[in-house]
Amino acid sequence: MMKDKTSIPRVDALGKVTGLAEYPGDRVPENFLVGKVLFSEQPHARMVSMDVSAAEAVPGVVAIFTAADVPVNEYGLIMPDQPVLVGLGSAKPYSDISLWECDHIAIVVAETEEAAATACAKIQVKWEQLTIITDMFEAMKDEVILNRADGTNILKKYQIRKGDMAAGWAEADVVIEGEYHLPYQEHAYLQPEAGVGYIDEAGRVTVEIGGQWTVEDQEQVAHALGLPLEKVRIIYPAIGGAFGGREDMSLQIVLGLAVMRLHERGIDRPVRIVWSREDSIRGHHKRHEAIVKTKWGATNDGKITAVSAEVFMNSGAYAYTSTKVLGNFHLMVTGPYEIPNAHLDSYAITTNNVPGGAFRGFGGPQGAFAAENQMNKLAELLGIDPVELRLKNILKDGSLLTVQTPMPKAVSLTQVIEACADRIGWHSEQLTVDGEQFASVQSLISNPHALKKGRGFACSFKNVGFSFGAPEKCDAIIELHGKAEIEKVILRHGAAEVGQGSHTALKQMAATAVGVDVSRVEIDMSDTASSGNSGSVSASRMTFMAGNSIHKAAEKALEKWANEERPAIANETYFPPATQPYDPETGVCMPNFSYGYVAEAVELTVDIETGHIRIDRVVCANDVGKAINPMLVEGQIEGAVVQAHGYALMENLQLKDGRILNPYLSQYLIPGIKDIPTHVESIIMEVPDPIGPWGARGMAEMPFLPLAPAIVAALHDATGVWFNEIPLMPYKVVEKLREHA
Amino acid sequence: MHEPSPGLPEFDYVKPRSLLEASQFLAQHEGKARPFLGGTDTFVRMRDGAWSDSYLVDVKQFEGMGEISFDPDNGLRIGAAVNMNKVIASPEVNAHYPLLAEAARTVASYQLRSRATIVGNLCNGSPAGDTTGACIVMGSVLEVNGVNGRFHLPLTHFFKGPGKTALNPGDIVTAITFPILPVGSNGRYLKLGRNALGDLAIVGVTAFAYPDANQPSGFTFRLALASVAPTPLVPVEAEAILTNQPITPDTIDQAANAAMNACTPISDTRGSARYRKQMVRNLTRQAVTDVWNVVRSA
Amino acid sequence: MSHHTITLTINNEAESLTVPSHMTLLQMLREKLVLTGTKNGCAAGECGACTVLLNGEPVNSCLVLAVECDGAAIVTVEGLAENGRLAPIQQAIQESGGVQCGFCTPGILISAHALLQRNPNPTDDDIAESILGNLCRCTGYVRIIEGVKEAARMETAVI
Repeated sequence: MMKDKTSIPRVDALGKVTGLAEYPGDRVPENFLVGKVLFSEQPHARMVSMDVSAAEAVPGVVAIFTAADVPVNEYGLIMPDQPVLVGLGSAKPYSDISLWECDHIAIVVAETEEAAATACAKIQVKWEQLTIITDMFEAMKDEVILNRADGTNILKKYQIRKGDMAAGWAEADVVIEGEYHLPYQEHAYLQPEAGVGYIDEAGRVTVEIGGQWTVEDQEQVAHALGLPLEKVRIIYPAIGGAFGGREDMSLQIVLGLAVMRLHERGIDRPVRIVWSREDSIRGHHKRHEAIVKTKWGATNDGKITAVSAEVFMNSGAYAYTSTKVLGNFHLMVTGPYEIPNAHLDSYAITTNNVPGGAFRGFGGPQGAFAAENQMNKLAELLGIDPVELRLKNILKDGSLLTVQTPMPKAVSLTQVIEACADRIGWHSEQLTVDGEQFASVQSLISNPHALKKGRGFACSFKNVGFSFGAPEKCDAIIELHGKAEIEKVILRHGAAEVGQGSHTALKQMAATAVGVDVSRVEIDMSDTASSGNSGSVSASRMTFMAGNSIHKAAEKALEKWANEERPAIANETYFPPATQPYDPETGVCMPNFSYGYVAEAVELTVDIETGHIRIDRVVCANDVGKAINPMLVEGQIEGAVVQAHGYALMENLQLKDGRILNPYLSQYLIPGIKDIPTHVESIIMEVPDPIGPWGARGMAEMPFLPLAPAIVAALHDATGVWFNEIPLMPYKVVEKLREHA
Repeated sequence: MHEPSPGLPEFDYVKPRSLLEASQFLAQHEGKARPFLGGTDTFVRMRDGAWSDSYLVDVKQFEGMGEISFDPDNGLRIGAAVNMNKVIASPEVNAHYPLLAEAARTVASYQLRSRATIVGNLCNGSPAGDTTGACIVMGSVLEVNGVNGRFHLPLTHFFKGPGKTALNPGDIVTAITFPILPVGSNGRYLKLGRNALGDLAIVGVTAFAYPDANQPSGFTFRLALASVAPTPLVPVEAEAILTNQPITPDTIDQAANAAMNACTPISDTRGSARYRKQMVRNLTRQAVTDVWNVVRSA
Repeated sequence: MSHHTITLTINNEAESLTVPSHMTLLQMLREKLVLTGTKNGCAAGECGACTVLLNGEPVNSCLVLAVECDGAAIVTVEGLAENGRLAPIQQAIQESGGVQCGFCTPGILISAHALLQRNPNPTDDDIAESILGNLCRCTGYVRIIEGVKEAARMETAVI
């Protein structure tokens, strides 16, 4: 384990091991009221009538709010396409239509949980049923329109046209075609959504909640409530995991709405809402289900000549961040390779399923699954080692992407691939780790002839920061206190601490930037009343962006300190190099300003009789530029690998007619301690990013990306069969092996 | 409609002072009252609305219900309220009935087994119970207290359908007993879950055997299958194959096939019916082979 | 719905309180006693975040009725530190990097603490077996296992 001086324990660890850290659902404000959100339970229906009188008569019920109570009944991170409350009496067009089983239709505020639940059950709603569309290809026919304002269910289409496809195919000696099916994935953070709303001492509508970007939440609440920004305050207490799943609104707006309307009625009491696990699994977005149809051509000596692909991504009922996820997917579907000729069409499609949205990797895992499988199949067909084939085509400094602009400097893919291959002993015939007993097959090991072993490889890259022209910046405030010397540094920053360790890393960077010991730094974080706009903790961006903003603010503060200002206070904003959106015809653009690079190799054992797979060893090589806190970096790698392991092998969200069928952790399985790979080995490489703070790149998403295709490659190595679909559930493995027997 | 409340529905907790009082209360409130032990299944089903009893009757506190006792003449008695961790840790169980400990270890997690009981698991009438097979093949008998007093109920007559048992209103199982096992016996429980976190069995196979000079094969074999039929299943044909002819790899294959053919599993998200049947064959072959290798050298 | 008056000790302090029949131990701890270190992650015995010691044994407090705890001794995460000194498992798990979001941490600490009580020198398998019922979505468990091993070393060193 990493034990150097920069691997300091987390700043929030003491509170978390003593039970004193407060998460949103732990807040017990004096005299609080209980709020409850009623879901529509209608994947597609028009509300005809709603009667809340019986519910209002339930003893203990204080208020019930419906669509008519929402000042501006809309929200959405990239487009305001979702009503805060679906229902009648709202000016927002089509807000009487429920497109998702978990559209919110009422907020009940009561003295007790029981009274709120009883009232919810007494709200009478009549619905006119509409045709439910869940299949992407059915939706694309536009026979039933769900995106009523746009008139089409194609929420977004991107295309890339590079080079001369006819020439590319003509040059190819071999062609590989593949169709890949990617499942939904549930974030399954351990803390279900919860929050508390109140009017603070300055009269602001205040919401304490878990999110990923305080200022975005503030803007969304202010917009829906028709309030000026400064009348809304967002505070993040301890947050029990996020992984992208808290990027969109959960309870922010409804809590704000409830306390604002209660205040107007002369009731100034806090309102608390806590979701159950099933509310959480049903009520927030997922990693997108997707289908990729793709074709790759290459010469006999292993040069890729052309790639065509069609990407279909199920966006579900509302946009959330789907268009951005699609953009990233679209770029990643050709992998980290030089592709001279490319013809790519990608679609985000609206259906009545649960919305798709941000989840660690943000379209990258789906893209990588298609690209890396294609690469591994090409290697097999050409009889070229998969590592060697990658190195022949890999992106390097100066390489042009499919969007026809060069990679940012210091591309280290070759180094991470070689480091990973070396560590696992790729060029040796011998697998390095012997198998142990299957934990999953509790007391079994079936006959030894049924055990097959294999090894697989994959690599990826992941953008750092917002892409494709999205406004990108980060604020930091540094205060230097003392007289002759700097006795105390205060860092005020918006960055959310969702478990990844941002507050610890930021504190360390502030100490380094100012040149004091970390013990002299105090932090004041994640409160819109005191910290600026950090942007979200997503896109592997916070260390990079915050580090640069801290660096800049510290420089400025030190300048003021030198000029005898006491305290010396600097409030600075960092702007990274600009990016550009896809050209609508050709896709030409400057997509990103920074990337991280990763390669993974997997050794596994499969029991071909039971279909159970045990991952014996994962080697994960990551170029992180500079590890600010190596222990936290390793924690991110291990966590990402195990989350990707769940995605590849067991996580299986079930939907039927737009309804999630398995909203429990006993039915939607995530890896437990006995399911994890036997050995996870992290290699941290530090090829500095020329514009990263101290050279740092973002890193917390990228270890997720190559794991599923590396597992599929290892399974192929073991069995001779390619699997084009995950999760690799035991029964599906057995069925597929039988087909090929 | 989805029930948004994360808590348990309202009910009255009843803690009778005697078994008789408990049985009478349960009989008088037929359909509205339910006995419970560890509650690990009961509370989940109450919460999900599958059960909606007005009274939950705690039956853990009566004399003898919290103890394990072994007597070399009469065998093992496990009080109904004994939790599974206690069974797993019991020196008597490990010395004389290791199959039971082996099966119990596969149930859920340590903290769940601090509350879960073998008797509670049986009384739920689930076809997926991990310890049920061990109880069946080792010939266990339930000790029951009903309104008319105490009686014994062999497990062979216990399971009537999914969630249905031979118990009548007012019947409270107070213990499970196991006879002294034949000399040279051995058993095995093989469970296939989707993962290692105490998942319900996709398929579970219990095999048990002992030397028996009266049988053509020289051995008596007992088998029980979990999660492959509406109730725990004893594949009698497979047992007969192993008892009636000399045991060879081929006989074991035949028995495994017979076990497979005896099943009527369903398809669900955890595994298709076809997969389950094949797994029954594979696991039966493995479990029987393992047991056979021990008993024949004993 | 009946109410019951129960007497018990929580983290070595005697408590007497009245609870409704259907209140779980978890609800009693969080809502009546405001001991919110014990977390509600699923309320169905599936995640382990609510694990506490009941008479020395770890249980899912969401699957125990408050009324069943009459006369019992309960220990929650708030009771692990003694006289302001962290228990070895608390110290070790934060230094090993076994804490990320921290929501699973209280349950894991209780499970691990109980393991070390009954088995001061656990193997990796013993550790995995004891934490099998505690889900963690952040760490990948690697550092949690390291933390429990370190705590075992610390406890042995103290003795």
